[in-house]
Amino acid sequence: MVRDSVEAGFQRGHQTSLKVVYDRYGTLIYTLCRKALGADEAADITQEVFLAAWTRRHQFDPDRGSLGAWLVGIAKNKIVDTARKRDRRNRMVLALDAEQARSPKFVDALADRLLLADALERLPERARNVLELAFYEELSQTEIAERCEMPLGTVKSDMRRGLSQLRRHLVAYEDREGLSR
Amino acid sequence: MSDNNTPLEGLDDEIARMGQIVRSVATENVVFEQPPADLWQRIENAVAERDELEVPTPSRGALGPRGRLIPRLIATAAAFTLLGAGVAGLVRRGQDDEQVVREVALSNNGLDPRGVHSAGSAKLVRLDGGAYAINLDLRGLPKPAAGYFELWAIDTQVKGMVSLGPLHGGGIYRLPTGINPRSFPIVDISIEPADGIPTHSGTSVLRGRLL
Repeated sequence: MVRDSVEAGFQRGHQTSLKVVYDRYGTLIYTLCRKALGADEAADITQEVFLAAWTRRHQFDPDRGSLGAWLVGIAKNKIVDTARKRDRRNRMVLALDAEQARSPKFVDALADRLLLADALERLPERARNVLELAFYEELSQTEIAERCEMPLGTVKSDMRRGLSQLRRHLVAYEDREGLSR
Repeated sequence: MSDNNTPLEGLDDEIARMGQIVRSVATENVVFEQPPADLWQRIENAVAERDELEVPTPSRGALGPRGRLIPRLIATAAAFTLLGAGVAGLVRRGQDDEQVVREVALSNNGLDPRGVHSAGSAKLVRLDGGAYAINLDLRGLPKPAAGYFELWAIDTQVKGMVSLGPLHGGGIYRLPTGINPRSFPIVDISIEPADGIPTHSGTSVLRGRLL
């Protein structure tokens, strides 16, 4: 199990830890809200997400997925709620057409995309390099070892380490019940 | 075989699965947007307000023999919660070679109306020997009809309180050795009846939060 210091501090409920969590995930959550709801509401909803996360920090369980995935789960619910309310008020939808913004499926796909992009971006450089070669160029382990002039054993351990970090995000996707509002 | 000279099949499978997901969500073209600069401040303020509503009621045991610490005390003390999570970065030299760690205005807001015309400020200072003290500057305190004023350092749960003694006007009040101002950041001035009961009366006239 991958542990990280941001999650540990947050779980213990240190007052300063929310700032650390915001510094780490604020951009991810804000981007998700902005792409789903538009600039007008993005900041308000981001604020609500972090406030809800702080209030419910005891519900966060690192064994069920990353803190990023948990925050994204809260954000998705708020986005869908907000889009519904906005639709009821029959106001103009700024960023996207109402059909899209209202659809939980659209929000899910957007959230997955941002969360994975964020997770990939934050992998240690070597792990990110080998995984990107495997994912996008679909190279084999042996081909990656040759391309990067690295021993095969190193390629494997980098891949494994990178995958275990990415997996924590995906675990949460498959277990959406834990992300209720 | 899983030594370092042969590719791992299980690993290949997982790479293939994960690769499919990564490609399907098109992670490579994502552009992240920076939140507005003041957003963290807004969140911090919202959290402070939320925590204000959630301050736990003190247990009976914490009240001492008098047991009349009233909810009013709790509700208003909480208004100062969380705003200063860290010690002030700004530390300046005061007059008498004391280091001023933090200064806060004292207010009667929500407290006993007898202090409605009172105001002042409290400085948390570090004395030469390293001890902490509160340096008070007070204006407009009424003359209590009966009893006296007492100065307290109170924790954020409003459970733990340290008496810094009867008030004798402005000036320096030392925190007892071992009392960390971070643990007792609320400065409180109470009206105490002359009944010899050593706990807080529950009637406060001025308050502020240092850290």
